[in-house]
Amino acid sequence: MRIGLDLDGTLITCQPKHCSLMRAVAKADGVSVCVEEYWLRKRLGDNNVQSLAHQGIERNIASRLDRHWRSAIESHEWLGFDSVLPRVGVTLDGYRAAGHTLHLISARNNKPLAMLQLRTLGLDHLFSTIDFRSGSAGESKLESMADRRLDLYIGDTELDLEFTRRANVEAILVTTGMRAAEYCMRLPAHALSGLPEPADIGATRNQELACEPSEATG
Amino acid sequence: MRLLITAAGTGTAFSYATAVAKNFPSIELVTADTNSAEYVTASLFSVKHYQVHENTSPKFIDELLAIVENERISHYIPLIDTEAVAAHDHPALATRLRANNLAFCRACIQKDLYPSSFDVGTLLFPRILDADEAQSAERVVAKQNGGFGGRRTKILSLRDPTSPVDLSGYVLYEHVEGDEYTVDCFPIGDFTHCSIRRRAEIKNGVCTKAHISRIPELEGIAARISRRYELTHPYCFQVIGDRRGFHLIDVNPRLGAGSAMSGANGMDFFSAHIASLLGEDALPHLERIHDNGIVTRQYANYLMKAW
Repeated sequence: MRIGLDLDGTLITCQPKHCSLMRAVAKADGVSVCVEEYWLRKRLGDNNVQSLAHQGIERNIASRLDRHWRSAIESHEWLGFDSVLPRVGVTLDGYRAAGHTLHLISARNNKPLAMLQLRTLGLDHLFSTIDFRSGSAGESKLESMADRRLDLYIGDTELDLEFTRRANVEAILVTTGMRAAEYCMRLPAHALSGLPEPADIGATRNQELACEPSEATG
Repeated sequence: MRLLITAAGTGTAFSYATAVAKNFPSIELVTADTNSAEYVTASLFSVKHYQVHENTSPKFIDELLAIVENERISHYIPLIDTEAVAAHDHPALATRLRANNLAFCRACIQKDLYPSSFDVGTLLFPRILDADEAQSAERVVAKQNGGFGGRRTKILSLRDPTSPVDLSGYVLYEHVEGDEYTVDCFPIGDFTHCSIRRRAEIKNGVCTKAHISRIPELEGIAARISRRYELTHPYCFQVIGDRRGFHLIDVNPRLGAGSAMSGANGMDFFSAHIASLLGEDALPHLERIHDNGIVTRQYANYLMKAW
C-alpha cells in the first residue's frame, strides 16, 4: 500500500506549540487568554479567532493575536516545541516492514525549516517521498495526494478528510492532533486515538466521504 | 509544583522556561530578574515575573524570601553560582533549593582552590602566577572568584607598563593554549550522563558553534567529580585540552546557556532536571542521538510588548 501521512498532530505534537505561542502573543498584547479553554475549543473545530472570541475577546483583537500567532508558528524557535508522538517511530517502522511505502504530505509554508525539523526529529529517513505544501503559495495537499497515487492517507482534520474524498483516497483521522474524538465522531471517517497498528492497515474500506471543509484550522 | 527561576534573563533560565512550557505544562513558573518582564524572554512562559535587585545587593535575599512566601514557591533553581551558595544559608530558601550541595557550590566559585577541590586524577590546572611571572608572560588570564559566563575574567598582557590595568581582586593564571571543551553533566544514580561540546565559536562568553563528541577521559572526570561531591543535580565544567592533557578552567554548579546545544543532539538536560524534580524518569530526555556532530545557534526574536 502507498500510505500518505500528515505531520502536525498526526506524527508530532501540536498542542504545546499552539498553546505556548498563543499565551506568548496574548501576553505581549496585554490580553488575558485561558489557553486550556483555547485549545479545547480548537479541538472542537474552532479556528484561532473563533476560539478566542468564545472567551469574550473582541474579534478585532482576536484577529490581531491570530496574525501574530500565524507569523510566528513556523519559526524555528516555536518549531522546537514539537516532539514525536508516542510509538510513532515503531509504528512507521512496522508499516515499512509490512511492505508499505510511506509518503509525507503536510501543509507548511516554510519548507526548508520543515525539512530541518523532520531531520532533527529523526523522521526524514522513514519516507519514500516528502511533500510540504505551502498554503500561502496556493498549494494544497490535494495535488500531492493524487500525484503520489496514495491508497490511504492518515491525517487529523476535516480538511484532510475533504482532500482524500476529492482525491479518491481512503482516509483515517487520528485524534492526537487538532481535532478531538467527539468532533471527529460527527465526520464520515474512521477516527482513531493514534496511528493504526501495522496489522490493521488495509482493514478499513473506502467510505463515501463527504464533508464541508472548515475554515483554516490556525 | 510552583517553580521559581532567578536570573531569568540568562540563556540558562530561558532554556528552563521553554523546557517547562514544552514538556511540563502543569508546572507554574515564576521568574525573577533585574529587568522588568518585557525585557525578559523567559517571562513569556511564567505566570508571574518579579523585577529584583542584583544578587549582590543586600536587598536581594529579602526580595527572594518575599517571592517564595507570596507565590507559595515549592522549588527554586538559582542560576548564579554565588546566589546558590547564599541560598544554602537561608532556611526558607534552602528547603526549596534544587541545586547541588553547598560544598560543591563553594568549590565551584573558589576558582583559585580548584587544584585541591577537583583533584580527581588526570585533571590539570592552569598555574597561578606571581607578579614577576605575570609581567614576563606573553598572555595571562585574570579571574575573580565567583565570576560566571566569562564575567570577571580577562585575558591580557602585562608587558606594556604604559597601559596599567586594575587587577585588584583578580588572581592571575597561566594562559593555556588549546581547544576549549564544555562538559554538561547530570548524575543520576551511579551514572553521570554527559554531553561534551568543543567550542568552535564563543560570543559574550557563551558557545555559539560547537562540535559534539564522546571523550572517555572527560566522561570519566565527570563521573569522578560527581562521586566526590555526591552530586544529584546537573552541572557543567570547562577544560582546555593541550598536549599535556585537560586543564580545568571553570566549574559551574548548574547548567549553562550553552547546555541547550546538547539538546539538539537529544540530550535535553533542562527537561531531564525538571523531570527528576517531579519524580519522573529523566532518562527519556537524555537519549543521545549521535556520538559526533556540529551544532550552531542563532538568535531568535520575540515580540515582548506591543501597544
